[in-house]
Amino acid sequence: MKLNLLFFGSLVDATGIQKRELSTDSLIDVSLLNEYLQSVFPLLKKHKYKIAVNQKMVENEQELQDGDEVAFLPPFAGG
Amino acid sequence: MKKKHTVLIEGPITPAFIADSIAKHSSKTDIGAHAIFLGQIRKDIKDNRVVKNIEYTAHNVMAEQVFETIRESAFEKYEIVCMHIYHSLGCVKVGENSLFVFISCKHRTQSFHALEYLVEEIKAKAPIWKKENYEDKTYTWVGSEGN
Repeated sequence: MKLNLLFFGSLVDATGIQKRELSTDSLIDVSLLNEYLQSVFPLLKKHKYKIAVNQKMVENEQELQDGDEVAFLPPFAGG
Repeated sequence: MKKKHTVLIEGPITPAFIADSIAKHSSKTDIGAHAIFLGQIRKDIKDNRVVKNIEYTAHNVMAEQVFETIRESAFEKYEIVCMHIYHSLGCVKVGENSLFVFISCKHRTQSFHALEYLVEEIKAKAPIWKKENYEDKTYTWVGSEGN
């Protein structure tokens, strides 16, 4: 399946990317995807962030489907 | 069809835009009270670094959905005649405005309460980030300090 990853705020600095398509058959839920990304981008471990799948905040157990948008959201700072 | 509201606008919210928004309400004669909140970029000094501007980014699609949910919840909680919310994206300089919340009610008390509720909800729930740029060309992601 293909996932569309989006990084925001300080996480753009931590990963060096804003947007990336990832093809995977093993990263079937948010927890596995997060662990994988933390191994590729170790700086992520130092950051606080939440994850949204298709614009909805999710927990780690959330399963992923082909075409999902997975957004990594550091603490909000609007206003 | 449900009216679509767009909150995010590129660059600062100008005084002319705000004045124009106020003027548009003169025909809505059931309004007796407007309450307005304006967020302005403050020239903070942090560790001897002086703030020059703030660059706003957002998860645009998600932010617009969140703003719509916040709008609906405010309409349910308070007696609001009309409501407008605008938030900047991109670069906003010190002294310029980045958030404009405009509530109109029949009476003042509801407008005060609704305004505070909206501003706090926006701060807590909208997926928006600010990169504070300093005069010395360094920067900080606000809220993610120490990372």
